Amino acid sequence: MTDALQVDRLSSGYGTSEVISDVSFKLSTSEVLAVVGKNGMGKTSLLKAVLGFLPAWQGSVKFAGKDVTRMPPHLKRRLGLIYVPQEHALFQDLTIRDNLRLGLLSDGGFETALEQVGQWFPVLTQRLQQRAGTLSGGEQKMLIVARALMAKPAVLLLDEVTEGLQPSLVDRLSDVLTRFRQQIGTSMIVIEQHLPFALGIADRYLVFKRGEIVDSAPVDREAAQRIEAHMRI
Amino acid sequence: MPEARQFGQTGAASIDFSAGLRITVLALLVVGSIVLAPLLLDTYTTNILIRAFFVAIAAITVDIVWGYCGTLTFGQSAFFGIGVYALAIIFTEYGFGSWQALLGIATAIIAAATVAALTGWLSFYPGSTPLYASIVSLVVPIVLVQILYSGGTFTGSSSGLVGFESFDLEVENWFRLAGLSLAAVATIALIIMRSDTGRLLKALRDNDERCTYLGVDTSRYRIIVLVLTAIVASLAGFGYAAFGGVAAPENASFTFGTRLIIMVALGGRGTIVGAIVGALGIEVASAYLSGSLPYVWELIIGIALIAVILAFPDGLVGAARQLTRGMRPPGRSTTIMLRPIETAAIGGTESGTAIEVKGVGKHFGSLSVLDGVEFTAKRSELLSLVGPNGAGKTTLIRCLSDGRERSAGFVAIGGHAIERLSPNRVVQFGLGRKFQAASIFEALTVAECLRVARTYRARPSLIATSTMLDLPPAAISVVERSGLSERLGEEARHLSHGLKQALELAMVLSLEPEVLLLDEPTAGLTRAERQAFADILTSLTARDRLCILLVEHDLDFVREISSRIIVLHQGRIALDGSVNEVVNSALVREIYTGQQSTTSEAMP
Repeated sequence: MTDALQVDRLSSGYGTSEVISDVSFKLSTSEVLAVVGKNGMGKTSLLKAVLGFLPAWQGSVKFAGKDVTRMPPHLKRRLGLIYVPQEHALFQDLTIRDNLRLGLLSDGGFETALEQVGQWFPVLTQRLQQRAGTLSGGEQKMLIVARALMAKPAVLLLDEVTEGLQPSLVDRLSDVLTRFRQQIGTSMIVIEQHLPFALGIADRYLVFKRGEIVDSAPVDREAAQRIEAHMRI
Repeated sequence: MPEARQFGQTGAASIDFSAGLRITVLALLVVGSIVLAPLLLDTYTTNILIRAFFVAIAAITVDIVWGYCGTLTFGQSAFFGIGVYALAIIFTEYGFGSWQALLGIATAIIAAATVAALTGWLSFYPGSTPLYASIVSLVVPIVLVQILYSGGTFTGSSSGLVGFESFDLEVENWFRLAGLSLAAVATIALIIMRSDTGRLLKALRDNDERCTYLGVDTSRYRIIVLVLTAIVASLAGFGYAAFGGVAAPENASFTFGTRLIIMVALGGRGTIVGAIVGALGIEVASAYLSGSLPYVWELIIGIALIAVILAFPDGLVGAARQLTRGMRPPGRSTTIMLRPIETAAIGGTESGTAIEVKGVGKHFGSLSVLDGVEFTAKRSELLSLVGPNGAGKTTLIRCLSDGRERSAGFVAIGGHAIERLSPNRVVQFGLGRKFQAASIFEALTVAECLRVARTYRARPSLIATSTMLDLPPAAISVVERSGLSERLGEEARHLSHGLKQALELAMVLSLEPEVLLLDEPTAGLTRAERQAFADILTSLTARDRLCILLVEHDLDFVREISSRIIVLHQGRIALDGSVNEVVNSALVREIYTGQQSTTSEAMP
């Protein structure tokens, strides 16, 4: 069976400064990988390099066995590699409904998908005609996540997705994501400072430090302790 | 004398000396060539260059308004035209003489300043967008040209004014006058743009909202810049008409305004030198090409512009800088000294109510986001505001910091009613607001961000670039504990998420606030960073006696540091009590432990 995502000796950076150095990892179908580490260690840059927003200086990215290293981000999106950025990347002047609609490539299945969103985040479907820019910070976050999930991603890249969400919604999100991987086999890379959330859904974790992987292991009871130890240094 | 802490490389003195020498040599070369050039150039080229020099001065003003302050302006031609016509009309009406010349200059200055002030007032009202300002700037030259067309013999209508007597100067001396004026304007512009005031202008371009919340009246600064550049442009127009002896509506037209933009874009915006290179290049090329290729020259210029913009998005000067990057000596070393302000008023001395909120409501049509919110908070109190997403927490923060936000009710900060005041005025009552997503000046360095944050307390210099950074102790402590002190010379956009949050907090503390509003400051921070943050907040309330209002979802964090908690639910205060009371309440358990929170059934 081919891996959903295979990153091989990837290096990348901004201008002349390297922020991702020789990173390799694999992500199997329906696997969830937590990427943890202090801020400023290149976690977000890693996602950007995988997506192609940052050019790969070396190494390769394979998606379902196909080399996509040089493929522009929008084509990867069409293949099912979907990114939920940390910033509130919304169309502020469009309604909630229009923002969600843009999560799908065509009209087909939109109404069904909308019903699902209603189950995850009822607060969104109750106010479909409201402008996204008038939503509160946490609600905007829900909208970004909902828009990504609607497209039934093959691989989902989540960057600090719990930021600004009330705890009960964090729990709900964790349920929704777990159901996704079980039902449609979505693989995920989860960048998180919220360790209980990340370790709650992940199978494996990577500790990232100055652009390199310094530890990688399956999630078990001692995982949180080991990670905290890395973060202190 | 408070102890000053030094960061960055030392050895700046020797570099400064060689830089000073370089500047002196450069100045002598420029002045020398301006004085000697007319002896070598033919009359035709000299004539073209004189006009080009005056146009370049106008281009510099476009560079300041657009390149440095971020407003794309088509309107500088109007001010140039005002100068042209001030001279032409007065010399035509009253003849040539010294009082007429003085009257002309005075008219040019006053008319340009008045029109600019009016335009600025229309363009930069609070909440206006840069696009709106651009459109206003487009209207100004169009209206002016229409006025000139309909002015009959007074303005010469479409054929303009010619045949008036003007200054009787040798063409060589015109060249020297225009050239030296250009050099002087460019030097002054460069000095100001590189000074602390110039940094502030870049900060305005980068993040207007942050500036407002740092107590800076951004509209006022933008209007002042527009008025000053308008005066300079009108004087350039005055010189242009004095030399040419012609005033034409084209001198004030939108087409000329656009050409000025092209000159700046071609040369490289935000550089001053680029504006000069672009203006001289296009003026000289146009003069030669329009003679030999009368119809296609504009097409050639257009294609050249597209080619340059595609190949070098930063213009010719930007491209030259890229090419010579490796060859130039390293830039000025960034030696920055941090110095604590001993007399910092942070925390103040008097006790009493820091925040007073009565019956505050916020409605969008029939939708009510906040309703009847009432509470007070004292000095040294750390009040946490919790509640589900969409409960109105951020809206409440907005209503406390901007007098124009609330639909109903009364808010006082430090005992002063905020009435309908804009955020920069509320800041003067001792309010500091940190945004949910770190709001800093991405294009400035860490030290520059902190210096801009001091604008309201310490007026920035027009000339100097200070190497001493005077900050209140609370801000210094954040800078040092977060590790920002090691990165003062680095551009803020390269900082990590956590450091950006710390930088914004340090910037807000630089205001020496009495009341601090923090909107989810720990979002996305690691546990260690969060702990450091908690320590900082605790010492701010204990030592500096700040009143802190904190929006936060992490209940453990809230429990650890708060003296009191308010629960906001569907726009109303559902609970206001001690940490234990609130944390153990049924409502909070419902919101925070995962029961459905979409209905109000669980309201107490």
